Amino acid sequence: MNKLERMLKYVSEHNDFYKRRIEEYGITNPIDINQWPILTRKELQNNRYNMFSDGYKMRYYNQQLKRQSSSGSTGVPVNVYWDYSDWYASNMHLWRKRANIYHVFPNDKQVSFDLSGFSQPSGGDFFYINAPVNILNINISTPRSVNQYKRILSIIRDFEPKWLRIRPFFLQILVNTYKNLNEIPPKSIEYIETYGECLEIRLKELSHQLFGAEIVELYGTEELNGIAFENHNNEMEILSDNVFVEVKTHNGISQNGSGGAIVTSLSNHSMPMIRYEIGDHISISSSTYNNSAIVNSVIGRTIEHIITNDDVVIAPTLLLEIIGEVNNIFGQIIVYYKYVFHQMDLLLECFVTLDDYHKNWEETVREQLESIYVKRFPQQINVRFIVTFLEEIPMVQKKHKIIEVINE
Amino acid sequence: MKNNEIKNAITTIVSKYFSDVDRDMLDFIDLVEDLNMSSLSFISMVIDIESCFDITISDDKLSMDNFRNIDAIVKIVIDTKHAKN
Repeated sequence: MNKLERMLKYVSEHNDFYKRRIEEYGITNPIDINQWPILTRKELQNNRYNMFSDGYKMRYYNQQLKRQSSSGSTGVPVNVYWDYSDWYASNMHLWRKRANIYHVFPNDKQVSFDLSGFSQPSGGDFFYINAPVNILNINISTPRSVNQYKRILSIIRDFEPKWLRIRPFFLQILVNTYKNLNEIPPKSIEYIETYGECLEIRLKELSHQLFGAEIVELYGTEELNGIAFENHNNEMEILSDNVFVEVKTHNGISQNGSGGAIVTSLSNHSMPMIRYEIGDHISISSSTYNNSAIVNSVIGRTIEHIITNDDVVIAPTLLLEIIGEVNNIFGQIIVYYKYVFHQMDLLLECFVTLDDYHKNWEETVREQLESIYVKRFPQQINVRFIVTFLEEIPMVQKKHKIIEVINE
Repeated sequence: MKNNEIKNAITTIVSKYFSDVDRDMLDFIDLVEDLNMSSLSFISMVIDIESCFDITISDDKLSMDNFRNIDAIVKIVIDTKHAKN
């Protein structure tokens, strides 16, 4: 029995949510993945407390499970819970690749750029902390001024990391900052791993020229950990010990071709994810070098990158988080949003619909959105930002584009 | 590889992660309770062990509880090598 079959057997015997699905969908052979229905994001959100396998709900109540959260493109958080041993196993598959292919190990010095908040100031600044001692965390939502970016470069230089873990949009900012300040990155950096968004080829080349390091793309989700990892042949090799990947095509679900990504976790027993529709559009096939399954392309969620006329990339993730931040302040007041970037006019228009109880809060929300936008983006970006309120939520198609670029 | 050689190699690997501890004492120490082994140290140590013995430890054994002391780690390595052969 292979790993997929073992997981399917496990859920059919130890998970009430999936036992109900077996009955509901008339599954006659639970270890045949083809008989299983797709698990949508909405189903996951609605059933997130009903999906624990036997014995894990009590462990959830006793806070003995590891939680991983993803806000996703809808801004509604999805929490997935892991048994710690499963979480180690899930991460181990990625670490084995890092170690075997790129000689990067967990105890190597690393700079991690993320958006997590810190509660403990360090040296009077609030945007970095060492935790544990080989990892330097930099909160990228904090830097605003040139001096602060300069400070980041000196922190990195003093820390002498072996590798960086970074989102592409901030890698772009880092590359721009090094160039604008005419500084050279530390030679200790041998490896840079990007995650979160697709890595543009141009940015990859620029980064490799500047850092002299391997630039490697990781494709994954918070719910499932690593899905595919770039190998030395520049192929995005699926982490087949961690996940089973299919695509939803016009002809049904397949292990080859292009379509919506359907992923089954082979690691998580506490909250299993069987044929979970993650929201990305991908293309998968077999490697030309070996028998591995590879991801040829990730078209991404219904999000398009915004690249200004002076080659600055506006990160879709940050635009989504602007909405998330306003909703955190006012309590889910924004019920619909869409960004439209007018390339020729360098204008970013944010369309928003407020809930029925707060229609008269438009000016307050406008001020907040504009204020957060200015704070989130470095001064180099000369893109005008305006907010337009829609009275009603427009009819949207199934693949609703949250960010759209208009070139005319 | 004989069992005492395996134990010696594992002790060498473990002592790298707990360099403050006398190597001879590692036999008697609980890596989790006494030395507060971190997740990163655990994962790193497992990768080192897998590389040293050319094995892949199965997912169901990847728990810090199974790696609390040298003898427990030796047993996992021996069992994994036997399963591989």
